[in-house]
Amino acid sequence: MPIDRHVDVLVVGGGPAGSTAATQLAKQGYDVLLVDKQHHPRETVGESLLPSAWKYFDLLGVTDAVVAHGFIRKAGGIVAWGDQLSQIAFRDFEYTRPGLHVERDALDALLLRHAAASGARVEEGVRADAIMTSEGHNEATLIRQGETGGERVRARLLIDASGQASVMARQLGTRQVNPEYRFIALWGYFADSLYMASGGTVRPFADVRTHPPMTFVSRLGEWGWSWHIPLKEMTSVGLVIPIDDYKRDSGRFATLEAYFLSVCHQAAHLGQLLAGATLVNGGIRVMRDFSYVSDVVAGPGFMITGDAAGFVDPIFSIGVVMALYSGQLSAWTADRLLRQPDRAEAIRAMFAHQMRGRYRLAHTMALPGVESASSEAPGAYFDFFSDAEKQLMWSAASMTTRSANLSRISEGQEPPAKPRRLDLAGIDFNQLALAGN
Amino acid sequence: MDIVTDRVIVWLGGIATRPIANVTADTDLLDAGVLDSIEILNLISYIEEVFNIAVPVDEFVPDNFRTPGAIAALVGRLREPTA
Ligand SMILES: Cc1cc2nc3c(=O)[nH]c(=O)nc-3n(C[C@H](O)[C@H](O)[C@H](O)COP(=O)(O)OP(=O)(O)OC[C@H]3O[C@@H](n4cnc5c(N)ncnc54)[C@H](O)[C@@H]3O)c2cc1C
Repeated sequence: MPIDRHVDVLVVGGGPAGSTAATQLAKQGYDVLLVDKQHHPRETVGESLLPSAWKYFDLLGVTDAVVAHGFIRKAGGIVAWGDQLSQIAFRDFEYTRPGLHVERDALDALLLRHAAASGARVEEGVRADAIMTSEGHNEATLIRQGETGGERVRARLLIDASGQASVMARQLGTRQVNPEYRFIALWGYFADSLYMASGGTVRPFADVRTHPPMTFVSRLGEWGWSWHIPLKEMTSVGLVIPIDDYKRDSGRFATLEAYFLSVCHQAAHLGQLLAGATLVNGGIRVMRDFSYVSDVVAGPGFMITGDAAGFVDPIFSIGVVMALYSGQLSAWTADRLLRQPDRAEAIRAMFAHQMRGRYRLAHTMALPGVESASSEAPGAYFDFFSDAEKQLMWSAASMTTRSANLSRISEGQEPPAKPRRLDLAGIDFNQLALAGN
Repeated sequence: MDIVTDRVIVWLGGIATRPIANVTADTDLLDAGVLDSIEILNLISYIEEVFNIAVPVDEFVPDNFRTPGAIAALVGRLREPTA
């Protein structure tokens, strides 16, 4: 097929990873084309953001816009894990800014519009297909929604930021679903849910703007868990369940929604938060086998970034920050590759090293099977983090039964004598009326 | 203090997002979060350009970036022509 267009960098996907890469490269003067097969704002999962997201917003230059949007600010998280009920607060880890609960359609659209404003060409409703890569001559066919024929574009570099679609890795056959980690996620949105604020105080939804919520996570069975994330208008509630448990239990329900609601209402604390709430906004969403990794994250002419490179488990809310980081890392790498093509192999190795280190750390924090964690010990990588960040990782992991792996990787390092968390005696749903005042 | 350490410290002083005081050759930049995951990339670009070196991936380990002194030592090693 003849080439219709030439660009410096083609970015596939306009989530946080793709928008970050496109913004930074466009700002440096590169000719960047970003395509997304969907039209933004588009719905996506992943609404709880760690405060480290602000650092990336600063670098992009969107901090004021994010603040102006008025997303819900959160002070930390509360975790009910069996009998253990505990809270961590971000301010105990040297963060001066809050975490956020974001409507991802709004946040991602904001980041994408910013990429366009920074000089990247952004085309929505355009899917990249039939990708061919080689040093300096990457090609893809761009297919517009509703059209059959495509336009062939050639790029000096291609950045795959296609999220769970993981276009390149699927094409290369390098995308591997994690066999030890097969989950299904079900989620939906509730009106009028109660929520938990600092100290486990229960509050009515109407207070959400005046009294910052905590992200509430609770354990379901041996390896499952739930999230409860109050947003501006609704509360996002999700279940993450091992596929085998799901197969065993869901059969006796007439619909997936009935199963979802039953699990929600029977869960300790979560059921009480949802007692007077109603499922709104179009029923439930489902996603399965979202835990995978690509063996290859870079090769002649291309890089794979964000979720497209791999994803483990959402329990510690690191997905979006990881996407922002890897977007930034791929822009840095792309700039070097374009300026120093003779060093391409070494530059790509650096990118792959960082991507793999991050992935392994996430894997180690979240992995249920302790044994396999040791083979990919990312101990050295852990050491790149600051004391405060390590403390946060330790403390967050200590709220669940998933901390054993993290202890193993940081050989030679002292875990804190006492994690910086507050153990709560219980949640008092009777205090509600008082709290609502 | 040698000239490389000195220049690294001056560069660190220019990291706008995290101004820092009293950095010496032995200040732990990683523990304190001065060199975070992004600044470490910027630092690599800086030392590669200014000292005309290439940092190979196997040198990208925390201990080589822990202090200004360690960074200067890394630069010194990479500048030496290999026999
Ligand atoms: C159940 C679940 C819960 C989660 N909860 C959280 C959370 O609370 N906090 C958190 O931080 N993270 C969470 N995550 C992770 C988070 O959702 C992701 O890490 C994040 O969205 C990744 O961003 P991205 O930019 O890599 O990809 P995405 O945001 O997925 O963007 C990819 C884009 O690529 C486009 N695309 C795909 N294929 C093509 C193609 N062929 N051509 C053109 N465009 C294409 C898509 O339309 C999409 O817009 C969760 C994940 C799961 C599975």
